[in-house]
Amino acid sequence: MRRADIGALLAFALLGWHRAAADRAGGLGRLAFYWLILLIFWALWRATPLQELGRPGLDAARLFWYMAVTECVVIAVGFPYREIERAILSGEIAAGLARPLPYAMALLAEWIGGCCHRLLLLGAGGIAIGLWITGGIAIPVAVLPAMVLSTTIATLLVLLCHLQLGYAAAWVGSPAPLFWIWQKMTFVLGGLMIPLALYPEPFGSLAEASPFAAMIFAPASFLLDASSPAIAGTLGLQLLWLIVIGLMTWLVERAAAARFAERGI
Amino acid sequence: MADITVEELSKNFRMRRPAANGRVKAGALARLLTPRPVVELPAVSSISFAVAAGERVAFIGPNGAGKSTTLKMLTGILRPSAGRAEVAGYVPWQQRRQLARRIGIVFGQRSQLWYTLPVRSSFELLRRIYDVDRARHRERLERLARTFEIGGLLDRPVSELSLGQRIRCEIAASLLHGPGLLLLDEPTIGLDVTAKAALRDHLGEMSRAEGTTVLLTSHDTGDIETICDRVIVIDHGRLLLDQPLERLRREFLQHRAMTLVTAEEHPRLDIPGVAVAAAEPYRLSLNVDTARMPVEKVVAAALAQLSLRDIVIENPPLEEVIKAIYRDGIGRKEMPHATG
Amino acid sequence: MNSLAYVAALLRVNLAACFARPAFAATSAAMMLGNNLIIFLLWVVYFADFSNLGGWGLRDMALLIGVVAWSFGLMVFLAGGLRDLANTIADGGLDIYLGRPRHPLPGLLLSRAIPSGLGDIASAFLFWFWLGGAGLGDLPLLLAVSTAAAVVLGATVTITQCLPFWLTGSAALSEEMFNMVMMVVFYPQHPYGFLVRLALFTVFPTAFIALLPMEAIRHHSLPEALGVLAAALGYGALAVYVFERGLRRYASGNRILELR
Repeated sequence: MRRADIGALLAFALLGWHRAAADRAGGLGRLAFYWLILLIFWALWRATPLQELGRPGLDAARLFWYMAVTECVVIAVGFPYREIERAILSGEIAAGLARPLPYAMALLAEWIGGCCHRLLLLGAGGIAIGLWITGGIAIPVAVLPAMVLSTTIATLLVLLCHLQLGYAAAWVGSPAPLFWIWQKMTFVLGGLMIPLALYPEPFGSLAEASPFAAMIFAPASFLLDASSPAIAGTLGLQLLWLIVIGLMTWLVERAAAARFAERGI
Repeated sequence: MADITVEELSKNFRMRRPAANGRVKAGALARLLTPRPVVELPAVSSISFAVAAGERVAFIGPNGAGKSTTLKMLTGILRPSAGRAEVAGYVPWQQRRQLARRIGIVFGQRSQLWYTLPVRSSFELLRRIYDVDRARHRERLERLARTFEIGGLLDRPVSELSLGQRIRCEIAASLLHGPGLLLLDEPTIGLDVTAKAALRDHLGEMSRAEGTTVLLTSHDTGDIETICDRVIVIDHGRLLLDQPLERLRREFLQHRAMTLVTAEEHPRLDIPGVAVAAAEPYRLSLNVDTARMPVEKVVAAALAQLSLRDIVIENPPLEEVIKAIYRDGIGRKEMPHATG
Repeated sequence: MNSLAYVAALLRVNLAACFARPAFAATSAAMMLGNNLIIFLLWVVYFADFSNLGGWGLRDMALLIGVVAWSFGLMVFLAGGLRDLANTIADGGLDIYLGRPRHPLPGLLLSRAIPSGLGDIASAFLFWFWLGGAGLGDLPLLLAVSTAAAVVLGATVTITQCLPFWLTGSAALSEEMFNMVMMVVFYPQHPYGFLVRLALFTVFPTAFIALLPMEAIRHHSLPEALGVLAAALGYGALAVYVFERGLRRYASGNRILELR
């Protein structure tokens, strides 16, 4: 990749940031949605007989913070696959493909910029409501850098999946049904609501090894196990999945481009 | 009796200014909560005119002139900020549904046909929407299919039609309930030259045969000449000109822009009534005053005097007509660059 | 009578358009069925760890998902135009409907049928009778409260999707609000405190879509069932009122265009 390309990608990322900053109604809407989910689960966890788990450290407050992290990633990303879907169905993608910079890379950069803005906004909002509701922060300061890094990788993984889902429009027309299935898989196998450590075996171990855990569970898992080997293992697995999913995305993008070249857009 | 009467009609749009972008000021949350100032933009400013039954009127102006906004006020889709209007005896924004039965509307950029279904299915639904009885519907459909040459398209899905075919079906759809007044918003937008010509012919034929009043917006001077007998020009929301087509043609539309691509590097052409607008190597741009010199004579002379590789003849663009109206005032007979 | 024929004609055309691509319709429906089953898995995991959730068990969750799936499925299959309402308002798409001699709302809502709704409708039966343990005798009650819940849901979505009439550029916000409603209704609402419940019975009337129907079903209680039916009438009327108020401010896409 040339230096000029990197400059262009940075410009796209900046554009994404500015677009997210300008979309004030959307930003507020996401924040309200985030708070609402956390409030719902605060009520659900408080109504749950947690003593049945036999894990004294795992109280409603800790589970609240767990969800604050997992939901933050999901809501910050949103539904960007629809942009590619619209571009493909309307034919506008032709303009993007005609540029010297790869369309998928540019779009990914723009999404990353937007997600950075939203992660900061939701992160601040999550800490504020968490402090108000639980009266403290259950995130140890020492794991914060690892958690930020893990959240970044998780977001990147989710965005790569959205690229693939968007490109699926080239084959299936509307990728919405695919998306809903994929999303629910991330919810269940990613441990969005219940930590994977609480899943019955062997379901829990299988889910932890899946890419969905790297997208959702990984950054929040540090709230349950903050030991160095656990952190290193989780980050290592996330990087592995980043390479695999990155490669898959590249293949899907190439296949879609070949299809456009052959059949037209 | 007038089909449309408009008096001092105005429409302003209120909108918020976009937030200043590019700088991070007081933090994301604070910026989210800062209200943006509201501004009021005039789209149509105090226009008045009347259209008699059976008249065919072109409502023209460049993009953003306010013509679609006016048309939408006349159909009851938009409420005016001030002024009065009566269409087919109704106040559009107060009696929109009663009015809708009496008029047909076509939006060049919006479809009322179901994309995946055969044209006939959408027509059948429109029959229900407008409460037209079966026999009358069949008779209307037959006649419209003949006029707009869409008989062969009725059983094909809309998704398989070309844009020109689809627009012909759209117009037929809006005429199925037999309206006395047809309002068309940019009906020829996006069509190629052949499709435009076919559509203009069909529309003209229909309106003459049925005595339908037609009000059409366009920014293409070609539409006006073929279909209409009166022209209203609007720009920046204000009425600029309202006169019979004959007069407009005489004063502003009698010129044609002609471009000759020649084998000669420095082409020269000397014909009375023809001004050279620009001369470049292998190319000559002319302005032809058709009142003094018909186009075919210019072409014949050019063929005789030069070896031509290509020839392009265009109507004066609307922007030029409006510039001429502004610059020369109504009544002056020359286009601005005709003397150049 | 004419209006009924009109609505029937709209539905006929929608169904024909929906099944014009049968393979796509079948896949969408199947995927939505799968989607609902995966959501249920979350609760299977939950109830593997815990004996109950404020008195609710796995069967109650199945019944709830059935109610919500029926409401949502019915809404998007019969009135799929609801999903695009905010965008239609924002980009001037109402023009076509306003040019017709009919109230624009039925034409708009019934402007398309989303085939995935069929998957939801099918999953409702699966959740009620297979996973929820309901008997055939419960069917009339299930259908009555769930259909009334569908009307409340449709009305709520209509109201939130009308936001672009008042707020420029709020189509995305409307979408978020729709997601919020769908989020809230998919979770049990009985553990909430008074203030949250109050909000769910008023601002976001999701209590009439999930809480009250479930109370009616779990206890076979008539007052709760009648409450849902009354809410359907009330919120339906409110949605029409809000839409009509919004129409007075309709700008036919001009505000959006000017903003760019």
